[in-house]
Amino acid sequence: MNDIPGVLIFWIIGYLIIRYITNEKFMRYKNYLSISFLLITASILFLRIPFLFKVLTFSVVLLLLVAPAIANTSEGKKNLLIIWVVAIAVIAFLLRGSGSPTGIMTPTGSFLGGFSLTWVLAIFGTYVSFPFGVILALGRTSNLPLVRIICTGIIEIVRSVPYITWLFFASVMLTVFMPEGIEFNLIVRVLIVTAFFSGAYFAENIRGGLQSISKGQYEAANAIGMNPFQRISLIVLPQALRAVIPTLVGSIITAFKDSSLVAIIGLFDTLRIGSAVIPTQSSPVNFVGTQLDNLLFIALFYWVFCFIFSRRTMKIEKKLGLGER
Amino acid sequence: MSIIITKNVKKWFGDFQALDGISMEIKEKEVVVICGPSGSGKSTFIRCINRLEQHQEGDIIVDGIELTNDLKNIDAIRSEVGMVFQSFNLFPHLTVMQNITLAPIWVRKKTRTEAEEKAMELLERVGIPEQAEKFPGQLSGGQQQRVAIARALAMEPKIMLFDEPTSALDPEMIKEVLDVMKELAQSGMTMIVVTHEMGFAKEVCDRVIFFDEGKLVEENNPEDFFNNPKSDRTKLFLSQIL
Repeated sequence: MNDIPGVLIFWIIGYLIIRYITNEKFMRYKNYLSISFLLITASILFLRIPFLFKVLTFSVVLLLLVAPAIANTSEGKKNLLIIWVVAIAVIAFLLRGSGSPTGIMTPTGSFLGGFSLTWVLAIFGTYVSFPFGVILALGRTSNLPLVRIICTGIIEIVRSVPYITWLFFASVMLTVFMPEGIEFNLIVRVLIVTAFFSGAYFAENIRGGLQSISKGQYEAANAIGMNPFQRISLIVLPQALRAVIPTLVGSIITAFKDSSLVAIIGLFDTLRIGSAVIPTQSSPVNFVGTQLDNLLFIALFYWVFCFIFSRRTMKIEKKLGLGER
Repeated sequence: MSIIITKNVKKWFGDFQALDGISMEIKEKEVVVICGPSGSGKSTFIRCINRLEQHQEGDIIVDGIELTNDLKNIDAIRSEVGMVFQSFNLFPHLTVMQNITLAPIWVRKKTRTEAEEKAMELLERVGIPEQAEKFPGQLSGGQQQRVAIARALAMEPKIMLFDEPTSALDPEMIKEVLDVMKELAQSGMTMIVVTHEMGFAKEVCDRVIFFDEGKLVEENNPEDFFNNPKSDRTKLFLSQIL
């Protein structure tokens, strides 16, 4: 496990952010820090470092975005810290050895398969596309014409092409567009198109939330002297996201189930494994007709996860509903 | 010593002229009531003072800082001018305490303890310290408006603007808000109040300004304004509302 020192560093970075995010000296530089981390993330996409650390750096950006809203009480700080430690550990576990020769290889030459693949696609797909969606939504409602046109363009183009087409794009075409010498794992390519695809859907959901915020909220934030960054991150986004939780959950569940489409481009996700584990006819025992059992089991698997997910969200919704409006 | 000076301020919404050459001066510690029929530009005018609306012609100078497109000036003015809105505009996702401490912590860069102490002080001043941990949605309209006043005061402004602070309130809650405003006026705050509460105007303010159709029609001390107004338009207005 040669990743451990790196993971430790990210644990510590996260701890420091959560510990000091509401500290006045830190707040003064927070904007610069977020932007520089974002730039770092964007540039390391093209560097030859383990995929794990690309994802972890991205997590730091995400943390910087959400921490001020959550870590403003000591209880929130504690919870966020627990989430951070667990999340990093899970990410590190799932992505261990990715991009290095020590990784476990499935027959397709990828380091993941079955349940772990579904999981990675669903969780990281959401994880990467959510902030992307927030940025697109803010961009689309921006006052700057150029930003608005670019974001609207991305959303409209991405949404008007079927997901399967994007998956083929990921598997066949994406490498053509990359600079020479840079090659991504197929899963990474799939994650990239998923980020765009789910991101576009998230963006439209979140835009709905942004529109539900009254003009008075913006004016009140302005009148107490907040800058645009503070206005968005402390006043507008928390309310907008809260308003669209049900639709966001819908999108996340869709993304989770849609992840089974990657079977088409040759990745072995849970669904494909379900039929791939059945021995072929050359085997001495006849397995013909047993596929239904597997499929039923997989259906149950998907149902359980989606059900747990929507129940959890209902609880969160109830909790957040307290004192709302 | 004038803290707010406006010279020939003009503003249009499309073809509609909302402000037509407003020139006035407001001295430090003065309490000014602006009244007039709806659509007369009184709200627009005070919203121009902290740049929630942008004026197109003329000059506005607040505490020696001229209001231009320069963002630094706008920020400087906004941190010196507190504003209370007709619809309260509290942040519904934050508790009363967080509503009040948000700006001191993030804009004034105070520490949390400092800001919370100050907030408690202000909540006592507006008479609702026991509501600190509630959410705005759990308070009555009058209480919400008092929280909004406390929120504006938390920035330690030199000037307070009130945009019809009692218009959205039930009659029995108007008094509790007006009492807070009276106390504020007596403490020497510079205040501009857009209101239809003529009782407040008679009792508290130093000067009444009457707006009609975007023009400043009359500027008078409260006694003369109510008892022998100079212009006919004012007379008509007063006869309709009193």
